[in-house]
Amino acid sequence: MKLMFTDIRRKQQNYVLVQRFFNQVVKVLLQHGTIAVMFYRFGHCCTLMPVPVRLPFELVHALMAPLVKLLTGIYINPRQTIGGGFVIHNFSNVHIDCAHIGKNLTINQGVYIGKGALSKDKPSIGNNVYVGAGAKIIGKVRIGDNAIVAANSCIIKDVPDCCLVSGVPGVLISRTITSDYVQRGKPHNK
Amino acid sequence: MNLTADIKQSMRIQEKSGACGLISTLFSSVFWAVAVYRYGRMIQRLPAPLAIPAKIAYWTMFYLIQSLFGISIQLWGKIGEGFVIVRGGCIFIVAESIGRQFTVFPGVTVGNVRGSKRLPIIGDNVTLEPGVKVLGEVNIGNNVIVRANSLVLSDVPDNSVVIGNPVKITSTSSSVAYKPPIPKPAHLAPYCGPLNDLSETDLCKEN
Repeated sequence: MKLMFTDIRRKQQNYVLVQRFFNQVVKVLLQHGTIAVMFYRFGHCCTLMPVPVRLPFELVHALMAPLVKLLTGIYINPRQTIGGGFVIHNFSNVHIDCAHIGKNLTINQGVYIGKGALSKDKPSIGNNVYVGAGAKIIGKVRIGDNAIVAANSCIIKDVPDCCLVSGVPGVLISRTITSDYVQRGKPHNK
Repeated sequence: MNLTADIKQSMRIQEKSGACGLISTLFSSVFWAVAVYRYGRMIQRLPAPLAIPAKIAYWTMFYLIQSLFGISIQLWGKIGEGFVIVRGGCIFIVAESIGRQFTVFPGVTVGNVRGSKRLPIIGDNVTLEPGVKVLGEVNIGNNVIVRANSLVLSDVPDNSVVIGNPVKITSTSSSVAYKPPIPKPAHLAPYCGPLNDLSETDLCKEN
């Protein structure tokens, strides 16, 4: 549950342009991405509970899951572990099913992270990763810390730390990242 | 019946088993989309007085599926048995004909571009990974895997794995290992090949 507030606080601090009470609290809490992330945190808490306690919570989760999927178009598997500061900007057609995700992951619309046709293994993602709109990360892939996956790229091989990949299939473009996206992730690292 | 094969193939691909897996398959949005498509194909041949209420029901369900789940499968072409959608969202499919065991991930578009004479023809055992676009006069062979986010504007030969924008062939054998090809029954018309082989009546006769 503490992680949920970390998620929301990161969105409030870094992704709100005009720092006003209305923008910071009401707008951020009503965004589709925030709703989906809060629902994922609830579902993940359910899976961590002991068995007799969690059954009613899991029932509520199972009933609400199709509604949240309908409303937001975002599916996040509740059985995976995602670190704090998880932000989803926009909604629709997002599918996240990972082995492990680090802190401060940023995700846009149309992102698919999960199993592919050729391999049944799931990807794992490091800290401070930014995934652009429409990017697909498929199969047994490890994405390093501070990496940026550019929009509409397809990652089927490992990505080292601190680099920018783009294209179909993903090609390493630069190793020195001065991007704004990663800078914005920094305050929570300290 | 086609729908039974769809359910079996869907459970096989998503690695579900038993009654629990069957229920979760039956109540998933993607299965409803496939079921509505099969229903629409089924009622196409009905005589006029029966067809009107059936078609009204079909269009209502089709519109609901389209608006709620974002899956639009048009009735134009036949899709063979074992048609699986793995997770819905942003799917649009209209093709001349699609073979058996067709697997689709979210974000796939199969359709035409402006000025093309006909729609894509897709063979058996084809998998389209998330974000693939297949557009225009394209023949895709049997046992093909198209990797994510690629754009198919040219023909793809049998047993290949393709990736890129536009696509390039990366391998010519590995897709067979993933899904072993099933021998085709003799009574089925060939799905792949030039359109001249299949006259218009043949396309309509199926299903």
